[in-house]
Amino acid sequence: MMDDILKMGHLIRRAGFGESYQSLQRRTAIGTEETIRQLLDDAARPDDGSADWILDFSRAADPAGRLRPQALRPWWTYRMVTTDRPLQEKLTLFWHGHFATSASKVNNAELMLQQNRFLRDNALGNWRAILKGMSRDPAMILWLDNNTNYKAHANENYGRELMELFSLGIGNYTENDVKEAARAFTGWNIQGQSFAFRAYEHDTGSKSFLGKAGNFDGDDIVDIILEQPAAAEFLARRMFTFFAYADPEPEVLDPIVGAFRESDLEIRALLEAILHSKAFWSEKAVGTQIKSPVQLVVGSIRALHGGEAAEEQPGEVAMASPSEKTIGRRRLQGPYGPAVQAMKNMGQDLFFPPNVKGWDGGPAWINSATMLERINFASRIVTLLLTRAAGPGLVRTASITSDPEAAVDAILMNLGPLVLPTAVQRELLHTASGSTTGFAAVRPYQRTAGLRLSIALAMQTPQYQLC
Amino acid sequence: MAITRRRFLQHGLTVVAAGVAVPPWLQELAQADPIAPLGSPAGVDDRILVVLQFSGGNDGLNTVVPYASPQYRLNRPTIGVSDTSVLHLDDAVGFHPNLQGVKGLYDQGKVAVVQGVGYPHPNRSHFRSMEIWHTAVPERVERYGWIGRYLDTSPALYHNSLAGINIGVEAPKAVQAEHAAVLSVSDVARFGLVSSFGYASRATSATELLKEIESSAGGGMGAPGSAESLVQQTTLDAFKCADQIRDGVKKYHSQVEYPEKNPVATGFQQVAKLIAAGLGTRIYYVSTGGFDTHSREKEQHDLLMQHIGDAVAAFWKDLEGMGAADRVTIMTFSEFGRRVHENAGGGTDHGTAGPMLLIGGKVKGGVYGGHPSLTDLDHGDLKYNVDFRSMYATVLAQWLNTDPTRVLGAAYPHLDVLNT
Repeated sequence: MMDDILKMGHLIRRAGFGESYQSLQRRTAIGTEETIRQLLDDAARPDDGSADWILDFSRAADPAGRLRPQALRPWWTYRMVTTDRPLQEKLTLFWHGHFATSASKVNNAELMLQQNRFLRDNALGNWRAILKGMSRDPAMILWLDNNTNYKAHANENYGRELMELFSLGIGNYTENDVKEAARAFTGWNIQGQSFAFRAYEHDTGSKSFLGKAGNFDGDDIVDIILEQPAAAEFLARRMFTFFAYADPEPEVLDPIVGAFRESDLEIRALLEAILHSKAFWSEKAVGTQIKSPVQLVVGSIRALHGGEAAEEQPGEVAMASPSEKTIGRRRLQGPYGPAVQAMKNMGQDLFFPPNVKGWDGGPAWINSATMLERINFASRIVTLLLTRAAGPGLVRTASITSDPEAAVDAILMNLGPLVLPTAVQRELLHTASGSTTGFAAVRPYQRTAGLRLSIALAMQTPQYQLC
Repeated sequence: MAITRRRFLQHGLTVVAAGVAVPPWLQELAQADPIAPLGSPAGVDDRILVVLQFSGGNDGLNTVVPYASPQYRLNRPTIGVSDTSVLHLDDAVGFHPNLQGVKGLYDQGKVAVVQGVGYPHPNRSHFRSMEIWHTAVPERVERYGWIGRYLDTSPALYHNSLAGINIGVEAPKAVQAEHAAVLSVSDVARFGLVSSFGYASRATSATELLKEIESSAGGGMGAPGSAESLVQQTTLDAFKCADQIRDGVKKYHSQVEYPEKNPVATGFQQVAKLIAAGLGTRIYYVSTGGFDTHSREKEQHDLLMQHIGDAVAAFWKDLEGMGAADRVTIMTFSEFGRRVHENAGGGTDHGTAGPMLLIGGKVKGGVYGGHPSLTDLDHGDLKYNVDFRSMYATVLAQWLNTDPTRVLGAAYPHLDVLNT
């Protein structure tokens, strides 16, 4: 039974951001197959517009009614924390990292939002449709300068990154293919907030691209790219790395690529093949991935809620900018402002990836600056969320029992489950019990201080940085 | 004096004010890895290299401008820097007008401008080309960076957790190493553990808690090379250095005002504070972005040049004030330059060779390496004159006193750009 819970914990961390022990028990009862099916079905559901009130607040606070880029980060963080379709948000995060577009250059929050919604709506879509859609996405067009890709003189930026970073990988095309692809995308521009094709800027001459010749436009370029043997493998490798582990062996990847091809490049088929692969459940995958800052922060807030429903309170979100702080008298100290700041300090600023390659991830998340940030975040977020004695969340879940061992168990179960070395577990137990007063002797609300500290200590372990 | 484990836990965590959560595995690490002496005081007089990376591909032709060339005018009709505004270095080239701060030092003979630096078969991908500059290995994907390999040449360097410091939360591949672990610091003022954990009412005081932790048995390190051991080791390094850094930077009493909203200046000020701290650090690494100017280059690049010029001026004033100017050399680079001909969007696409600057009290000022031809091009891009590994070899040999072949794997001609 415990093994099943641990397995389910692995699936839910990778296909989401972690869930309470109760929830894992419920999922274990219906089994892995059914859980994967549910996760995928949920990920394909249409956007429920949750948390859009945060965006409305931001627009209302702006004299010109404009949405600010600062509002996007708490909006998405809130969605990830409160979602009941974790895979939908996880996939949106994958695509955001894949098509890494930064608001720093796009400089238009509505367009960034539009792209984020496209990625969510197509999270389990068809790869061909996603590439064609992203080639028309206004934020992408601004980000990679296709708005200045003219017949008179092509701008190579989109043509290059489309192949290098989005679809084929370096070594599978030539510099000449870059130039010819750029010509095919000339005139793919924007008008206001929408895609606009400008025929007079489009180069209608013949192009020679990846061994083919013809009067290609952008869609033809995508179609020709997807005919390349390297194409299906490229995305499969990226997605496998995100969900399972880096550098998959050919015998692991080949059948997954095969299933992806067979489905005519359906993302659902690709992801099903990954989640059902033996490799996904192997020792090489379980507990070996370094949590991204988003995974760590979102997962921690979810865990600290302790399986209790998050309090939905308009105005709870702490906005990033001073002017937004004036919004709503009912604004409470929510975790979202600090959460967004912490993720940024740990090296992952949502909507502001460092460059078009996105976040490198893996070991690159870890350096002295980011590790201190992770450790300090644990102290801060526990203080912030669990200060009220017997307040909601993990402290209450853990303080119900009068047995300190059971209390520490409850903490660890809800943090992953988190498996720690025995000596460290003993330390947590000691901390939870307190050095002068026996745990059992005091009333539940008096137990909370030690429990809070134990929770923070557990979140500061090396093991908690992994998932 | 070697620091004992107990002293480390007592002293090394003094930032842990009452009530701070201390990771319980810290103690195991202290056991597993006796604390080596930190940056030795003898190191404080050592020479310092500050690497300044321009991410995105800096337009070299608009940085060191061949203003006298008719070909430059022809190729840059809208984004060309006018010959009246250029800060003349000689009768052929001059700095971008916003690089006054650098020109001031050039006039004092402290800036070497090395033109047309690149490598054979240039790669026009940002990421591959940056990787090539980071590893100094164009032929294949190499695991470790050139600075990492430099630090790995000597135990005195790689046992000193402060020998190399990267400014920011992203450590570049240049500092990846087999043995050395380069510290990343984004803000010296916040480098440590927070002390805001509110459980003061608890009987467990911080001291008691530390004792408890000390008395508990260790769970051991993760397997070498595992993610777990990376996390453990990195955290241990951070803890080891946090106090030293936070105490050290108290020695920084500069009145120099750094320009605001200037990321290069912000990075340089962190470096100045760390130099003042006297940590024995040999290499600082500062990165700044925004150079991928495919469109509307003029406004963007003008601002970037302003940032660099102003930041260098403030940093240098600061270094002179603390008497460190002769110990510091700044070396700038970018992953590539940009296409000679501007595009229709008022920008430039990815190119090849570009200039590098060496700035320092011991630099032999001047313009080096002929300017690449604007007519004899490689697919519209400049042909390089100087291999960047020659620059690395020069700095390694003449500034860092290391045999460059141990780092670069081969010998490269040195440039005569340093007074050593």
